[in-house]
Amino acid sequence: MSRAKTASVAGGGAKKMTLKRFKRYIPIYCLMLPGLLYLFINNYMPLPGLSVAFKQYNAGKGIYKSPWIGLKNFTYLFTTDDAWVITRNTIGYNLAFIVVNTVMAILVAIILSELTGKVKKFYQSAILLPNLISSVIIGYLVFAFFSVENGFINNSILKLFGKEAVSWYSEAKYWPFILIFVSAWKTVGYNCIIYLATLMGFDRSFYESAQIDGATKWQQIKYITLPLLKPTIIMLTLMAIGRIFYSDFGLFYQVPMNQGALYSTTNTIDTYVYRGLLQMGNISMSAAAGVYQSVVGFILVLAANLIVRRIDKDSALI
Amino acid sequence: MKKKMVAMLMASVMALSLCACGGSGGGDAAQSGGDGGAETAGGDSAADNGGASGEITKLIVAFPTWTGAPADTQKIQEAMNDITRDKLGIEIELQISDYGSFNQSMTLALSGGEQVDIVSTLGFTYANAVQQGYLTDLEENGLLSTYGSGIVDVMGQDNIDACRVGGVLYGLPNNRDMAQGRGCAAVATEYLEGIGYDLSGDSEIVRISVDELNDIYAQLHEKYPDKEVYRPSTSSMSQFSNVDSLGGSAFGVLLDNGKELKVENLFTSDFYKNYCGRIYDYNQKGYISQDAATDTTAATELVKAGTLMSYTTGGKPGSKAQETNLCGRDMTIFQTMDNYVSSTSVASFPWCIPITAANPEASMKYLNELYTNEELANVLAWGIEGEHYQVGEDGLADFADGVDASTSGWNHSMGWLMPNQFITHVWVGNSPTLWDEIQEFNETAVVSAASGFTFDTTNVANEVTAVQNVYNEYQASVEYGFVDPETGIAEMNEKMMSAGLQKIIDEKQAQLDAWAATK
Repeated sequence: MSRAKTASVAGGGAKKMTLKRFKRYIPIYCLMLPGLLYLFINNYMPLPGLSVAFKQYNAGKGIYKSPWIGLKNFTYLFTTDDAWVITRNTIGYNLAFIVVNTVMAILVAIILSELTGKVKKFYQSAILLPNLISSVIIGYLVFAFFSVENGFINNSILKLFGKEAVSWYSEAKYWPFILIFVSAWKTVGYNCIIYLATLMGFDRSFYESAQIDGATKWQQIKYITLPLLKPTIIMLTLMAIGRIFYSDFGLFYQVPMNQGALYSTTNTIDTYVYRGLLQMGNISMSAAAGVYQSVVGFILVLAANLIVRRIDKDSALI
Repeated sequence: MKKKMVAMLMASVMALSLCACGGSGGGDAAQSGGDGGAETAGGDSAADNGGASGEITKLIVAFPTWTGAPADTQKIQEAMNDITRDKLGIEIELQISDYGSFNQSMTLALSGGEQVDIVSTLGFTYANAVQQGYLTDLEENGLLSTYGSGIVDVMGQDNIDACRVGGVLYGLPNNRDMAQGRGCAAVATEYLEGIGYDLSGDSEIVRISVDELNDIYAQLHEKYPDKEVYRPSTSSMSQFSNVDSLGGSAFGVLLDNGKELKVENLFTSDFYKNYCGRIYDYNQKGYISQDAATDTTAATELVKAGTLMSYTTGGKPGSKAQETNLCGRDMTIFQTMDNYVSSTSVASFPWCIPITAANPEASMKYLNELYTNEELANVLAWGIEGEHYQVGEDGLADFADGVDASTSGWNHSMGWLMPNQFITHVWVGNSPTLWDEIQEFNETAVVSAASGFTFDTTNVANEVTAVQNVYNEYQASVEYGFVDPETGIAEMNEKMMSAGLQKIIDEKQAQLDAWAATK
């Protein structure tokens, strides 16, 4: 009896504590409200629209009155081996981008952090420049290199070594390398800024004491810089994995100049849907592809987070 | 404690005001959108009841041009409104987009419920628009017969019936060249003179055989080895064929000018094999640039720049003047096949009234005026007389003094898209009797047995998308001659078959049979 009473008193105490804590945080909750409202209106209210993917959309009837047709809108993705090819390409390229771009960005950030003065400013701006160029223009820059008749590579480099000209735009096998290179060239400048900002925030006394103890540059990087960068790396990588099922449309559509012969290695889910539905204008089928993309993306984020939590609990997002 | 309370109050006031700002912003937009809709609806019913009392109905007319809205769109709109304001009580707003983005902007506008009253389906594919339910039934409540009798008189019932989809009329054909001269090649005349080709025949379109054309190309290549002889495009194959691509897609076609209503697979036909073989041969001989598949510059631009000598085009009376204009060089048109009216040509881009039209009766009245009122049609086609164009003594229109093709504020060169081109002036450089010639051209052409058939893709939407993706992948390499047709076509066909090509062919045959039975 008395035990029960104490328990209830303790329960009441806990409730009081939460209420008190809630009251204390009211200003902060209020600050959160606009953001929440925005999220709700922008990200949650349209969710019922997902039903379009399972309907035969008819503008005359509107979204909610159009007839249900189950999974029929999804079948076009899976009637050929296209679903496999585009899923493989999307995930494969993004994994390669995550690895290559992260390594390159960290490398460049460390090099930049060692530079001083005007040179550093210059390099920092120069390396950021590609990120600001539109992908249509990048497509033509790449074309200037790889054009079969007038391209730099065929006319200058391959000729110099006495090699045969290659028709780059009809040989799919070269494009994984070209695209990964272009992506690195384009994004490293931007990614390295985040790493650089983190690097600049490190306590210099670590390095000073390391130097006094006679640590080489390499040892400083390996034992001080990289461990300190780890949380940033994990967070940025997790965020990239969250978007692993989305591809940079410009990179995959404009840079290979929309060449049919290259589809086997350049077709990703975004370009596939764009090409397939450009002619059809079928809203339900576009929505179906969007749902497929979201579901697979969602699963991948959860899986990646699970793995990170196993390895390092503090860095996991959820 | 008090301080804390004040701080809290301040913070919450700030947060509330912030979210009030955001919230009210959104609310306003939504509300004003709703108001706009209600207003137009209200205005329309008023116009219905009392056209005489001077109420003006405002309509939105949307169509594409190759380059987007010309500079003087506002002026043209005013001039058109001056004609119809008193007569019909209708004012319009022209909503002109460039061809490339027209489909997207129309899909967005119509699925979003935006008011559009009259729309051209060039680029905004008619069959898709019907399938997605964007268009109004034009015969509902006697719409066409009551307000559009002039249209029926101009176009003839046959042509109007050709726009029916599943028996329902969603669009009105426009008056233009319905037939197409198939198998035409445009060659810059100066190079023909260079190889000593005899052009004394003086006919507008020179009839030759494919072998003779090959011979001309061979001579051109020999004489001008640095210039590209021929540049294929994605539409070259259909322009150089006698197949009827039912419903506008190459998946399931009628061969041999559509003599019989038997749907066949184009990609296993002898015609396709021969066509690709010929282009492959061109490519092997170096007639075609190795960058042809990558370079999307229009062939006419390449001829203008002086790097290309020939390309495929569709022939019709006036095509010599048209191509000469586009290329900035004198062009000679050779034709190797018949003039042909395929099943889709009449209904390829009809004018329609979308479901978001505020007042379909007014839309139909206005369309009727566009088909029958010469003054209105001329303003839409050529602009304002004296400012954009002038009519010479021979009755041909030309640019007004001090204006040329690049400085004119209304030079969209889309006369053929307008509802009735035949009541507008003929442009200079053409024969004064051009419209009669086109009428005759339409009437004497070979007509496909399936003329007037439209294909409803609803049941095979998945297959069409999947097969289209395969076609996108292979078309350039196979049809531009970059792969050996022996292996390339077989590979493409196999992949299309697994994507459901046979199902599309069967569906087309079934719909075609049903259509033929009702005829």
